[in-house]
Amino acid sequence: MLLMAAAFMPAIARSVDLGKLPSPEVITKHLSPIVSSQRYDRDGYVAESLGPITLDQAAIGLAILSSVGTAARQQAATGFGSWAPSSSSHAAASDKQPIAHAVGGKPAGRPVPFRHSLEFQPRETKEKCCSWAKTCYLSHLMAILKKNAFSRRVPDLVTEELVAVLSRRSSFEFKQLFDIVHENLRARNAASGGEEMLRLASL
Amino acid sequence: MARKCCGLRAYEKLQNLVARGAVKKNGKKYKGLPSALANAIAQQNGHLAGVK
Repeated sequence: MLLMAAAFMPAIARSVDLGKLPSPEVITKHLSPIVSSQRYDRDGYVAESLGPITLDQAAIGLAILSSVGTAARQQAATGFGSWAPSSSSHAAASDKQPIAHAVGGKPAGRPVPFRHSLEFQPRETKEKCCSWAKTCYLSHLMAILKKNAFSRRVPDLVTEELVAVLSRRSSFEFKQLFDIVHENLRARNAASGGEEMLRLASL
Repeated sequence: MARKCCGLRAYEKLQNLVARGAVKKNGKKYKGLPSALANAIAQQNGHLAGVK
């Protein structure tokens, strides 16, 4: 399990020497299957299990390990998100830019400043570089979207209608344009101003 | 009254679109530039420029 954890989190190798662990054959010699049984007994319910650890202990252990793993993953994802805007502030200009930046934009042998200080050699396959770059890019996007999720913004229906009318291939005077926009807003029951009027009334 | 308010708001929004280059003003006539309008509405709805 530790070996598996090390595969997902390279940082674990810094604090645990995985070479000192006994081989799987030695460990499995001391392990036996967990046998459990459940039955009704008079007014109660008896659950028994037999093995190196009980079934409950195994379940609790698995739950703890999975929660620790999830927390570590989330922390890693947050790390990518916080790193991305500082090093590529121009990344939002184009959606292909961050990927191109990681694939071809780095000089040979220079470490890419990811959270785990992964060093991408120039001879590595482009697919691998792309997958890391995409991961980083998605984390960056998630960070941005997460920030927007908390903003309290009223949908701008007037602009929406203006855009819808102006997208037709003809030019309008303001009065003409407003007549159409107002009709459309009335049809949507949005001509009264709604929350925007409430905001103005409070001023 | 409500119509007048709506008119003022619509005029303000229209001038914003003109300032952002999404609408071209020619004398008293306004003409929308479809690609710029699509970009403007996408940004207003919280989308990122260039992200599908």
